[in-house]
Amino acid sequence: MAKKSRKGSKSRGAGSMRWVWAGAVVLVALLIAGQWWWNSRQSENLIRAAAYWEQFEIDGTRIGSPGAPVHVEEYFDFQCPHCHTASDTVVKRLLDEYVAEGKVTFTYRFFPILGPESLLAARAAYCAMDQGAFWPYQDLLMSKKGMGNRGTYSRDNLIDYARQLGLNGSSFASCLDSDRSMQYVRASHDQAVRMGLLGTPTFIVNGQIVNLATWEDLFGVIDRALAAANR
Amino acid sequence: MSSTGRSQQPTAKPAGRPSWPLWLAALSAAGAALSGYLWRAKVGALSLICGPVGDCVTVNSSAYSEVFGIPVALLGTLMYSGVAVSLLWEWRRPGTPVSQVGFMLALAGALFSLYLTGVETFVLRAYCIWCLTSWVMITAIAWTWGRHLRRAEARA
Repeated sequence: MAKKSRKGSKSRGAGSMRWVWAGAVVLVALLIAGQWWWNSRQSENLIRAAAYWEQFEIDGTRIGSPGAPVHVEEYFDFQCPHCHTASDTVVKRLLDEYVAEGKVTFTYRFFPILGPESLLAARAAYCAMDQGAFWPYQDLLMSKKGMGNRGTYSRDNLIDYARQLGLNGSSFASCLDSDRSMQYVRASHDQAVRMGLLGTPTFIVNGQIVNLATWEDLFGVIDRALAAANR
Repeated sequence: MSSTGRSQQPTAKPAGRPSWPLWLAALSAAGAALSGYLWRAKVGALSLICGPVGDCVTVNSSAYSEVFGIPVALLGTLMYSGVAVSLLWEWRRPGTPVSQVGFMLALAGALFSLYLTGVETFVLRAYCIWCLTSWVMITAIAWTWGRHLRRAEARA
């Protein structure tokens, strides 16, 4: 009788252990399935976001028709918080309302002044440009909102971001380590220094540096430049 | 009758609480700290120090470092914390269902870590020394805990 009850409690115990194992396996299966589903959704989102840029005429860091009456340039740093804000508000509006209409052509210019990750991110953006993907890549980097050289724009992360956009990781990495990416970014930086620029973001409309009190001021300057061009 | 029987038993020294849940709870706390470090690095609050072995930044920033947008390192921190609490409960009140739930968490953690190590090896081709350390820790916790549960069952 005692043996029987011991057997019963053993099989009960074995049964509960089976449930524990089953629970653990189901939990892990859910996590893995969730991860694969999430990753495929993220890839679709990135591809969809990249398709947005196809509507524009693009040449390196320049976007929009070269024949547009107004040329806007922005000297920027990937780690500058105001550049992140400008990217979210000013640049998006500029592209949708002015560049898409053929009124403005816009050029990003590198001015990395906030430390090693600023320089590395700028070089990485050059390498993305090398593979014809500067615009989706800069968009991805800006969305990361990295600041303070904390690793957001570390070499490995920058390569990983490139891979997420479907770029060739190994040629991207060799470009990132090359002198040509350094030279390109340095040339842009030196140009900004020669122009006497002191910070980022700095906007230039038809060759004139614009002092902004609010973001809205930039659109006022652009509208006046457009009106002058139409006269 | 039973009271007579009890009085006739030799006065045995009451068995002390086993210490293994405390050791495993301490290991779980260390695991929670390790995962917490990876999580803080993932959100950019800290910079990740990989040491001479492996490439932990690549692993911690890869697409496999998140589930539904939640950092795996945060899930690891919560899992280790849950396991540590269950182990302290096991130490206080052995053999309750809390223990089984805690063991299930540890087992799931060990299996998921095994999967992630496979991803590091075959997909990313990059190793994260902290993740491998965590895998060893959670596997040791699950294995030791499972052995004690089996022994307890065998005694029952």
